[in-house]
Amino acid sequence: MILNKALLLTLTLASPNTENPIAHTHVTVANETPAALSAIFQGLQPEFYLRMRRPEPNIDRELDKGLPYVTQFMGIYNNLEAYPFASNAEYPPHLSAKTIAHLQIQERIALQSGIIRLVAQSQHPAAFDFLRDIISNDDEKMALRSTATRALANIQHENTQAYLQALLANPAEELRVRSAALQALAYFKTPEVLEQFKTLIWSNNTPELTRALVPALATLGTQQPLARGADLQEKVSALLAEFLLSSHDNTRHIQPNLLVQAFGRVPHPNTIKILKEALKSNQTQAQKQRIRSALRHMELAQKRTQTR
Amino acid sequence: MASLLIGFAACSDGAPDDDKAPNDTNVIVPNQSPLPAFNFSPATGAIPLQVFFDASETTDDADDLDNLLFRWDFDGDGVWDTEYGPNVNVDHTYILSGEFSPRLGVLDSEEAVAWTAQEGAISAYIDGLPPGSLIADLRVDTNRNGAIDDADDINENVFTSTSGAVYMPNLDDDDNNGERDGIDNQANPLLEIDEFSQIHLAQIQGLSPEHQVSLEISPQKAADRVRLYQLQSQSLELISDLSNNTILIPNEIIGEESLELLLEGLVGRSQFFNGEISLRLIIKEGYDILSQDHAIIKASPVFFPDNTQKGKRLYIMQITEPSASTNFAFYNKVQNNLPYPIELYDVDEYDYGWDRWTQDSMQTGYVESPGASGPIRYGFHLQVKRDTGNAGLEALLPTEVLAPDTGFIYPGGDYETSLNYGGNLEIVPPHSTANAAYPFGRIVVGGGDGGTLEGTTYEDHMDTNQRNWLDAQDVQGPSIELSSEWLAVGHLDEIFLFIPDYRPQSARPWKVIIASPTLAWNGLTDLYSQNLGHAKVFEGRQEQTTVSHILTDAELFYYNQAAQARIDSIRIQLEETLGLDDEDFIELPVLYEPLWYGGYDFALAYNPGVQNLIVADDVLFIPDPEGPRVGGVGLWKAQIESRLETLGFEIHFVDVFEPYHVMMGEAHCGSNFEREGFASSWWEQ
Repeated sequence: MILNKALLLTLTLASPNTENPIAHTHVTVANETPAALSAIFQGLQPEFYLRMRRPEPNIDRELDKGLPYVTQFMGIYNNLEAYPFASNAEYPPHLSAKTIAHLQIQERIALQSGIIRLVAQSQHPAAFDFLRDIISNDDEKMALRSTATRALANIQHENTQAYLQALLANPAEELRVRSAALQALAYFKTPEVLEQFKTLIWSNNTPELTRALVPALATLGTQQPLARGADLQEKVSALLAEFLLSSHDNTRHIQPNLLVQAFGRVPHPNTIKILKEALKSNQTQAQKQRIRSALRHMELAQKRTQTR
Repeated sequence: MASLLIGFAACSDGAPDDDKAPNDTNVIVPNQSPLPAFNFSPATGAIPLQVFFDASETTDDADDLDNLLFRWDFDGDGVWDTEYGPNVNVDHTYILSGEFSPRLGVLDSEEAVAWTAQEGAISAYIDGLPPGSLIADLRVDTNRNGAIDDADDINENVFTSTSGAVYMPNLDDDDNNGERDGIDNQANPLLEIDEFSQIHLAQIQGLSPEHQVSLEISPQKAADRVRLYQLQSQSLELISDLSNNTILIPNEIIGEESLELLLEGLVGRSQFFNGEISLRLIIKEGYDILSQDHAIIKASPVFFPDNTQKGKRLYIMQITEPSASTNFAFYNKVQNNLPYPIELYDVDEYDYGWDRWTQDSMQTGYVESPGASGPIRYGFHLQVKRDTGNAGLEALLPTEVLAPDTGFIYPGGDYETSLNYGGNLEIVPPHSTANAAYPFGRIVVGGGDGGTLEGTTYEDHMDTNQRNWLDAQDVQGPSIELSSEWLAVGHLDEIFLFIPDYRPQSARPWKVIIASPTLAWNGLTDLYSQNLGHAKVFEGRQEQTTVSHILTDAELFYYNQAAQARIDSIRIQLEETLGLDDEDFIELPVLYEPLWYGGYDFALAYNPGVQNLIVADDVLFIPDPEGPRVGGVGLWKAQIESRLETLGFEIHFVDVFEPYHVMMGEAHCGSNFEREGFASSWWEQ
């Protein structure tokens, strides 16, 4: 289709003498598979995405089809001068120039974000370095740095885990990046990650991290039935219960309903017992309400398992 | 001086009509008829005035006093206020000021009757205003019978379930000129009299030049929200200047005859004005108030019917333009199966730029006031804050739906977010909790500060102005906010919907259908365990995949775990707030996937969100989930049918995949219903 052809042609013209092998490669691919690539970029046609319920560019649905061309996409990420794809005439006529300029920026970010996730999913040998370069680039947009950090969950390697743990542990790092590191680490399912989370839940003093940490713990503690991964459910469930009952200052950093809903993802008989016992003890009404709600979440989760 | 009237009849009702009542003081005593007579005390006093009546001077040829029966018409309005009884001594308290002609009816043992009245014999006056004083008398339709009468003088300054006048916001278009009448200076008020509220200012006798008569309207802000007209023989004259909230009424007018005014509500209730207007007719001499009368009149709230109310009109955009993702299959299925007499209203695709999200631009409702032959209702819709640059459905209400007896209001707002839209505003059907009754249901809106499912801090809410306007209607609030900020579009209908439950044995006549990622996932896992992992999902679509492919997507699994936990949290909030339990929820199979915008994960239905359906009375149009088919049976379809058919519904699955689902909406998002109103009137509650 028009848009991707225009992009590829423009990129080629923009860097005719480039030494970048990636750029050369993508020109070749473009000539061979224009139809496949155009499908990937269909979502970036203004007339299409502006008609959607959320009129912002997004290419997530097309990402799967881009995996064979990941090398080329890495090249595109670093050669976006020719972006946006569409000429102003391809936007609805009622939009102002300012609006179109804003949309074009969003299109560029959407494309970059999509490429980041695509690269991460690809397991390409250069993927880790590609993403690390984005994360460590202080001039890069925060949205892209955090997206790249979160995308590292796809590269299940001990180096990746170590890198993410370092990001998370670095108090000088941006909170969005640290939160994204938390979210990514949850997918590693290792005792080391659990230990770091356990330390952090008591020691950190930033609400944003706590709000990311609780759902990340729930992810860490859930085992996908068809996937590998250590079963940390009991430990995570117990840690969440300890946290809920602790009245620690950090419990006030997260909305009560967010804290209790995490229990629904890691229901465990021991936790249910602990919380039921706690209900009998001297608790405030608000705390009793939180405990009851946590129990209800676990009850609903267990019921679904039992009624299958 | 009171005059004496006596009448008689045999075996008749004895009403004082022209055929029976003599018009002078002659006494004609037929054989066997009683001769009624009574005394009373006091004859005058301030209200409330208790008067003692004594009928012991009544005589009869055949019966002594003990064998006679008596009944009374204390105010002389021709309607007996008591049944026949043996008591010769009764008392009555006059709560209205005025002169009254008490009447006594007597029945003897041979069923001969007679009556006597004492015309103008009792004078009850307002404390401090003895007979002969100037009396201010203002009346509105306090008793809600559609007319002004003496009974409207009772409890006219309070608003209860049995008394209190009502007005409606006049924002329909009775003269069909394309402008809402309440903000249209060219409107013809004569066309709208039925929607105006009557105000009666009684003639004031005895005024002299030093007296001033005025009608005051309060609060101050009411002046901008109503218009007053004086009813003439052939016209309505606008009383234009309400700026100082006081209308001076010339003595030569109010001294000569009563005045009939009409009140036109302009905007009704809002967060800035609760809709209650106080009217006060005042007679002054200098700074001294000689007499005043006070009545209140209250604006109808705007009601939003819930899905259990009968459908009237269904708005859907039929899309035929090939480049705009056509919806032939969806539209035709609805058209062919819509229950009679629901009207299918085709919203023109070209006029509104293929903005197919008819649910988004408005929330349909009505306003209501009492009328002579029952409540009067007209369609009154909320135009939500939704800006598509005048390229979409913003124009639908003002240019197409606006009509005689159908109006709308736009509260506006400062903040543009998809959480303002109609799909993010649902109505809980009528219900009661342990603490309160909600006879018109309750508004729920989406929004919150719970962040994304991954745990990134994020907050979004419906525009405060719009939410406050909803709460100001009072009858379906206070609204409840439930977490929807984690969703890509941010609407509650992406999570749950309320539907009727037609089973007679059902404890509650409605249910909550709610998305369940776990149900959908477990169904796939069961297929996988039967070696059916190769079964296709979304077969034939660009997005086609398999059961195995879905189940091995770890991120999708954890994301749906998180979605289920968030949905459970919403469910528990519904349980606690509305007093619901497990029996009130029906889970339906829906998976979610993350869409990434600016580093944030927002959830979107992965398969067509089946709870996002159309309720057309006892017919459901459910998005076809396009799940795996085994032996010709769709897994998710079967799960849905087994849960919903037992409620008494006829089910039709509709194809929403291309024209709605991939564009981030489903069937409910692409439809909007006008429904019948609630069974009871709001003032009765």
